[in-house]
Amino acid sequence: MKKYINRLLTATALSGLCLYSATSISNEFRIDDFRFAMGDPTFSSWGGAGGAIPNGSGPYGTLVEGTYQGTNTTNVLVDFNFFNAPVNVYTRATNQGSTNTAADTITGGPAPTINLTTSTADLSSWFATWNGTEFNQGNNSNDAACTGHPAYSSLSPTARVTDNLDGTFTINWSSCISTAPFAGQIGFWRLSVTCTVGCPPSTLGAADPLEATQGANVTRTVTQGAGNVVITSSFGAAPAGFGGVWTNSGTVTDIDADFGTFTFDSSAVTPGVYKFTYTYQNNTTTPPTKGTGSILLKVVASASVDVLDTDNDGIINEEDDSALTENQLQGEAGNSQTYVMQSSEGKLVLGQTAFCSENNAARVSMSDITTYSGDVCSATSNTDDSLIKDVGVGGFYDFEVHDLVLGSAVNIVIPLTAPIPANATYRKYTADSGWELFAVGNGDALASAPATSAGICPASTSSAYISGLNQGDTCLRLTITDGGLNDADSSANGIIKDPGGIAQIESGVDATLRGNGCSMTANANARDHAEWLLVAGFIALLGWFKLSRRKA
Amino acid sequence: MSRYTLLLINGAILMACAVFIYTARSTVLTALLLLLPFIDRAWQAPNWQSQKSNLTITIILFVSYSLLIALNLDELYLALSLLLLVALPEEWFFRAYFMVRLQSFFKDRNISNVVTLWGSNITSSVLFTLMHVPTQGLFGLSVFVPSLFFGWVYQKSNNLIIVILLHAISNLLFLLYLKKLIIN
Repeated sequence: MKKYINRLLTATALSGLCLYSATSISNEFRIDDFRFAMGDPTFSSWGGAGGAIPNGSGPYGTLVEGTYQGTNTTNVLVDFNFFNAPVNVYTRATNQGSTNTAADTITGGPAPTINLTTSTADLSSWFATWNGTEFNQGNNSNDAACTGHPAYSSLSPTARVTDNLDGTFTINWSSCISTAPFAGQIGFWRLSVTCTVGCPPSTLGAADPLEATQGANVTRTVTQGAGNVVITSSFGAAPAGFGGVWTNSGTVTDIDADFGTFTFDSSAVTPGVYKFTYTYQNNTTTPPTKGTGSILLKVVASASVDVLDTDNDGIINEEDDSALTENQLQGEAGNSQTYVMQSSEGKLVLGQTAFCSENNAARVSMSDITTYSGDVCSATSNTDDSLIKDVGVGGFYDFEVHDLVLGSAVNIVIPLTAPIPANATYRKYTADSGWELFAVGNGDALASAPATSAGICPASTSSAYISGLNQGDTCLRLTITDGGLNDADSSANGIIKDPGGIAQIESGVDATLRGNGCSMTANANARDHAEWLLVAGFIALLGWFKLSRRKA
Repeated sequence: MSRYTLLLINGAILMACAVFIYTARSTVLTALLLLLPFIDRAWQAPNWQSQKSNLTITIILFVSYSLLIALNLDELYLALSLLLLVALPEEWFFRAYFMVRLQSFFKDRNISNVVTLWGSNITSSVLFTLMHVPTQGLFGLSVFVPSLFFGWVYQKSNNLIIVILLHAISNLLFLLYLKKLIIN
């Protein structure tokens, strides 16, 4: 039969499908939706002479609440029509053999189980009938009737569980239909379930530093029609115990089968900027760790220069210097000798605005921020900062620090192109919140120092740095904690994002931005503790006077 | 040399060091505020025995400050800094020394009590305000009124601990709550 039918969805009547993990943790999952399609693993458009499918009861894709676990006496899912005949689905059939018929025992079988450690599910007791004949659709029911079927050998009997990392799971499997008239056809199944009881705990894992290659070359600018582009998770293509989900800002299709890589044909993608996000779950840890990684890729129609970016820092090789270490990043385009930023830990890369502005440097202008700071390098409208008097003080810097120990603090040194002015403040910009203060405290700090020579700053650990923004200095040191107040992604995920820069503020609003209500230092960065010593000495002096008076 | 010459010199030194912004400004000002009064031998440091007066108010202020800290434990360092590095030096100089010496200056000239009290309070508050302007611009002018209040409280209570606590509480309230409101 060559008449294929589009995906079938029907309402289900379940309120608690209990699946038990292999680790004896009792988890319960509610079935939200199930899909069945014959011969179509993508569940995409499937028309043909079979007629409008489904053509039976139940709205498309709707969960019909009902009881399943514990009664086992009725169909678990409402019937749906397939080629004008009803399909009945049962989930605890006792017999999945080829001799099974609709009249056989279709309840009392083993409960479906889900193993979150191996990300697999046992749905061998999943059973369906069509028009009174069996479909034999459990994920382990590789019926002999299908042996030799061309598609059969490529199918896995394992139901693969994908954790969507939002409390929902997707279970996919395929199975051979064993009896006429569809004998030998492959039925594809997709269950969407939500964890309702005993949901597995998880912890935030490190952000996944994705890497893109076109051909054999690492790059973040890919040329249309120059071959497939492969984005790879740092965990590999399909590591055991891992699950992953890819999304992208466009409609780019993943043409590979591995869940740890995303491959697309560059000729099928129009020029522009695309954001690819990978959400993974590592089930090899206890509890499982979940994290994400994202990468921006520019697709260009043709490249006039070498657009490779071997060190994956957002600056193309043409403008980069391979002598720079991974904790160094050019502040100025084409200058790897001076004005080089440095971090005490991790890897420095361009932030989104700097990458999209194509400056090939971390320093960006206000115009760049306005043009590229929105979602996937789109323009924003909230970049006006009336409190900033002078936006040209050393420019703004858009960078990210990757590969950090989760939750750790890092020092970033920025050689400024202009001295810190009076009434200086450090302003940070995010598309969501607009301009904000750099928050000092909880381990985050600002410090500055004079340059040792033009564009060369003391090391980030140097004692030359004095807390605060000290007028005349040209070296700025930011101390930012991963996941802290000044980390734009707000997650202790091993990545710090900090677009911002020095600004001179209007004197009339000075104290609201940097003052503390008093003329002197009163923050966590009291200058070299000298003031504490002074106060201690003062109190000791008072005590001495008092003693002297008593003696007198 | 008049017995008030050092008062003028101390005031001038402080203002000269406060008017510019430089790297160690905060440390220099702390040192001057704490130590300059000792140079003026005509001045008598507050009698700490008198601090036992208004004990109830002192305890209430202390408990209030402790509660503020307890509610914002993350800002413990900031709260201690405001108390010991800011409020203590500023009140020590401007209220316990400068204002008191000015009162003596006016009294020596048989000026009425009201003018003596307000004249000394306003003059020391002007100095106090000017010290804030270089770092805080026009907003620094807003400290004038609180300064007058601190001066008035000191004149009424003769209790330096009370004004130090009041000063620290107002600064902490500003930083923890009012400033955020203004920014937002």
